[in-house]
Amino acid sequence: MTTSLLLHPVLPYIVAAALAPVAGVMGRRLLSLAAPVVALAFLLTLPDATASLAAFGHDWVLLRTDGLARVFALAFIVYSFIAGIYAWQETATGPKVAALALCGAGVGVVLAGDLLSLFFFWEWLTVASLFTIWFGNTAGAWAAGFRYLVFHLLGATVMLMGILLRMAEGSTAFEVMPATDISAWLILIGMVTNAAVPPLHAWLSDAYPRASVFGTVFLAAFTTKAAVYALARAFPGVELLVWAGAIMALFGVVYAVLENDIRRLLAYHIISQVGYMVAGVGLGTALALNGTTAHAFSHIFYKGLLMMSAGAVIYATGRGKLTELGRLAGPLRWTLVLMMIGAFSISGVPFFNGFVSKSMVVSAAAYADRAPIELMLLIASMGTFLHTGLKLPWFTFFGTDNGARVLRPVPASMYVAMVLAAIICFVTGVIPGMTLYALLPFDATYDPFTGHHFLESLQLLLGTALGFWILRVKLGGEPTTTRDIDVLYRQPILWAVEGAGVAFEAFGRAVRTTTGVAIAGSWQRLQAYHTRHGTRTLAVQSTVIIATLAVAGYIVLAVRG
Amino acid sequence: MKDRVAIIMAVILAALVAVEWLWVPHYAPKFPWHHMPGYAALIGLLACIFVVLLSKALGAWLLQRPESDDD
Repeated sequence: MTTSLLLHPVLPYIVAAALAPVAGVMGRRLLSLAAPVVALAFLLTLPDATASLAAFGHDWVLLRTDGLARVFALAFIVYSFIAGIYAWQETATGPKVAALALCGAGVGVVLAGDLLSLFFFWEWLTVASLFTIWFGNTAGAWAAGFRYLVFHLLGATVMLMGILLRMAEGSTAFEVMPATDISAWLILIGMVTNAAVPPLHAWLSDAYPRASVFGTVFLAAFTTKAAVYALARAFPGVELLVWAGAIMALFGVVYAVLENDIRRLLAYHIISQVGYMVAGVGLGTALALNGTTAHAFSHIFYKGLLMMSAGAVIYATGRGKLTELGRLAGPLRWTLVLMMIGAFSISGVPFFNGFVSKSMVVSAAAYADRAPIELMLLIASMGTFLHTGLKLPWFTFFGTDNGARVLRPVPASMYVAMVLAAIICFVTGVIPGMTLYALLPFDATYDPFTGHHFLESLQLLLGTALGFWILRVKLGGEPTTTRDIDVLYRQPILWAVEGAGVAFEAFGRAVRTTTGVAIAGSWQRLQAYHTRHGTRTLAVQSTVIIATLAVAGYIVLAVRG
Repeated sequence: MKDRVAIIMAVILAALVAVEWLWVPHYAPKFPWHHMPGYAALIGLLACIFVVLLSKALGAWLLQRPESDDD
């Protein structure tokens, strides 16, 4: 069945983003709430159908609504409304436009019906995310944005190679593709880059905590979950993803022990939670895929709630490190309550949404006779509660008084947004059958409310709490940052590109032709520019970006030729 | 001084394990630990201690650096 593109849920976001620069402050606020309302109306109106646009010699299937796409689109749209309320205090034009574009791109990815349309929205998502990071307006945000761009351009170029190879083979279908040929593997690498699967994850924990408190709330919801959707659509049952997901779930836990920055701690737990979803995709059974979908839905709201409450603490105190916080339970008691609802949800406490979604993936691993995977995911559950349910709230709201004071009150808009997200976490956890489970696209049933599941969860949580209590002295923040796996390639890439640059320049001088002189001159100018602006690594990043774009351009021309 | 919080948690934990052992065994045991009452409590406690000590050791040896080096 086909439908009209005029009902595409992305359109309200595009219109709102276009109008935002000419609207006043109140106009921008209302636009950021009106766009998701209209998008939701469009989504609910649409039947299961496709809509396409013929352009540039290709039939772009820009819209496909079916069960899987609908759940993700619904979560993105509802969350964008809540995040819009949270960011009510954001008055600047740029961040509002970037946030609207980011939400629209996320919805676009999950509604794309062919690989080129997917790539279009995928790149739009990267650019919107990049500007959302840059609007953090600090030197750290600027540098992290560049690293984000380099990473995502490289991932996207690899993905584009795969898509164009498939095009050359005569297909751009965005459907299940067996990971047996090189084109599918290239697309898979592009997708796991956006899903932040280690070792391709460093962009997430690097960039998300450097955006503004409003920006992080938008960033946390879209990119990784859109990638999970793409993986679930294209690569269910790929064995590599089972192990990648389980390792990912544990990886974030280890780093979160060491983390002092509250938003970076939560960012590492995005990696951990997305690990469950990636493992679910890899398991590939109907229950596992429903688990992945349900957990992505839950994650968007509880992680959003956690990022919102961490943002509220930063907004109120001007501080975001555990070593600088503590004893805020009195003045920020409602923020504490709301953060705990998010923490209970992510940790799988009974009657919160993580309890009904995470356990689907863990059970799917057990039903598939994957003993090590079940064990790894259970251990990761322990880590989730240890950090987000115990370490984060304890050292933020209790623990030692490190001088943090409430310098300005948390605005009502932030509270309203947090309460809405908390209601969704709670309601979907109490009556999943009438809410979350009713949306799931695959044919599998699951009952989370068994006596043993209650006992297993309570024992795991209480055992963790006991461990935390015994070791709490060791778990306090330290004034350190954590070297992530990116140190393994950041410095070597720097050396390699600089070495290549020197060789390039020497070659240019040696051949003494007009082109050679131009090559040498352009390299010198690039170096000089970035040296003047105080950051040597930007020269390398610029080079990587230019090289990536050149490769992408070459691929396009080669395939067209 | 006795740590009352730890004692209370340990007692509740023991009660939960007892309930599982006596009345609510695993409904579909698949792996060896499913037959062992209190496996989830053990995973929670032991994995917590192991992960914290391992992470701290890794941090001190390799992963942590002074905050001033950030960016």
